[in-house]
Amino acid sequence: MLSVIKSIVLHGLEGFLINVEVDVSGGMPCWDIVGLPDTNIREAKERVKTAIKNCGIELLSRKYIINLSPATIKKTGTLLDLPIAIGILKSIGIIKNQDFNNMILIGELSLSGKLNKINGVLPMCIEAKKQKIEKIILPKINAKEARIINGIKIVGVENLNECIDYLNGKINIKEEQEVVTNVVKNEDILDYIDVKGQQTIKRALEIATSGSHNCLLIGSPGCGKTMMAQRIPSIMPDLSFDEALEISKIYSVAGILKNDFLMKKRPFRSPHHTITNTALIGGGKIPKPGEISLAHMGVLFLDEFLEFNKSTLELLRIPIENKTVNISRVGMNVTYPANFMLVASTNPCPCGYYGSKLKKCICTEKQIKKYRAKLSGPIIDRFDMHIKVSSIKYKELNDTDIENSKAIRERVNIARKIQYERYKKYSIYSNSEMTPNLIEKYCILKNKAKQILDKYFLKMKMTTRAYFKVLKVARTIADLEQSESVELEHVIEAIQYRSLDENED
Amino acid sequence: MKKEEIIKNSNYRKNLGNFGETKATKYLKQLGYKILLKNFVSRQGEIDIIAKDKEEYVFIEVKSRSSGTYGKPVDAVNAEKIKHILDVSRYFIYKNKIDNKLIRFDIIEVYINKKNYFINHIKNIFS
Repeated sequence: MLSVIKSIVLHGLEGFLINVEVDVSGGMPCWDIVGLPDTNIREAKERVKTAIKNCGIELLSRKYIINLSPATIKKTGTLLDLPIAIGILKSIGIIKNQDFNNMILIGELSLSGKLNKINGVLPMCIEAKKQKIEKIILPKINAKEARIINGIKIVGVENLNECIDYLNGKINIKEEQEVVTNVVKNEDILDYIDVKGQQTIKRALEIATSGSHNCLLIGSPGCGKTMMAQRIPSIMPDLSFDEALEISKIYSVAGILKNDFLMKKRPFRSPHHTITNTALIGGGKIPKPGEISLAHMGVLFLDEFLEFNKSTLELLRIPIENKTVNISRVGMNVTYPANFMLVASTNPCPCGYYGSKLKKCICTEKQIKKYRAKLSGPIIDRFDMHIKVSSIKYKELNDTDIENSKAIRERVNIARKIQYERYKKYSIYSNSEMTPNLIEKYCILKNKAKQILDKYFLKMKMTTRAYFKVLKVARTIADLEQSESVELEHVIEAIQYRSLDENED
Repeated sequence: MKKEEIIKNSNYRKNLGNFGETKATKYLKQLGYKILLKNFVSRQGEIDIIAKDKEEYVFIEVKSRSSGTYGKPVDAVNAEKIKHILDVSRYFIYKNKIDNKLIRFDIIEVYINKKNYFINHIKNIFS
């Protein structure tokens, strides 16, 4: 007898609704799974057979044909164990009178019949809701994560037997209660109150965080670049629910979603500089998200930027501009979001003291040139802000009147809220994502401001991209001051953060 | 080994096999199986018993052992033997036009002592 069960597979970050068709008939006994299954789905055969047997149900000698339709799309993941098992049980008459039209089953079986945890439940639930599915049956361990999506019935089952009894109406399982998930503010341990002096740098980072601008910190060793960068999470704007959901989707797919099931904090990723290309960008036979996608909506901090492989750095070019990364492999082609704020820090030269007031630089001209050559034009160009960090003076160490992160974050939050309101229609979140079209609309310069920028543009032989970056940063500065229009002083401050353009001249 | 001994030996094995098959048939009849054919031979090989269990056609390989020296009887049904069984059964299915009927493959182990014997029925060897 034929039975059709609905299920869902992952394709990158998107769920994809499929039908699991099971036919059990006479003829030469065999067990075939067709419809472009990956190896881990092929292996479902043994898991399902044994799990059903261990639930005390005898599988007779029949011809079992399982088709995953649409059969043109490659499917992967172990979560089809449950729909296959239920399909078989329905075909052989163990499960009766059930309408599977509005129901989705997902879950991985262990040999004992227990349902194991699966990855990527969140995007699947989002897709299921979009497809107007009424109910999802999944492993109990995943139920809480799925519950983040409201407006759909979530039934968590412990094992196959429980699932059979539930479908036969023998037992009733309480659906996961709908909850209002709040994105709570949490305090960070690292606080800007620890950083003495460096007012200008803190201001620059405040601007960068407000508009999610990429910034490059250059300075001698020990001047506090890393220290300040590490404290960026403490001033990052609060997450909205939609943003939290978007981040959680990525973490769900990567299988590293923590116990609270919804990312409540913006991610801060700081990979070591020995990172491989694949780990940074994402990839593998079945492409997995890399660090840049895990830093989506948050910060990707690359400490010792110039120690990274040059080829690795150049990989960042396209994701920085596109805010997404497209990974093509033989098996599939997926696009992961990668809208991160890139913060990089580096020394100005190999010895680290070029231009420092404390120590003399001992590098040769050639060494410095070689070192800087890694910082290619295209990469420099992609940073909205270049920030030169210098060591603090001894007397500044005794400063007591220091602003804490909370105060800074309040300002950042206000600035970000203005941006949310402004870009509601365009499905972007911050100034750094503005398209040239939007820049023209929202960064209108008055006479004097325009004159100054034009002059600077011509003198420094800036690229057009750099020109737009200045405008974006100026817009953020204006937002921080809650000013409707971009004024002269905003542009001048924004120009200050292009210090590396000068070097090229 | 002398020639006579070899003949004696092979006779002994033949007898053992026949004894096992007889006992297996008896056992199946007791269970209510309808025995369709015994020792069905085609050019692909041989099947010991073809029976019908209600609606299901059952192809049975009988293996007998009088000692445990060479392992369990079921261990002697190796990939090659299974291939033979499948090939013959396919021929039988084709010849009798029973393609869409229910089909099953079983093994019956017969352990033989000096005085009595013991039967182990393994149903549905393919799952």
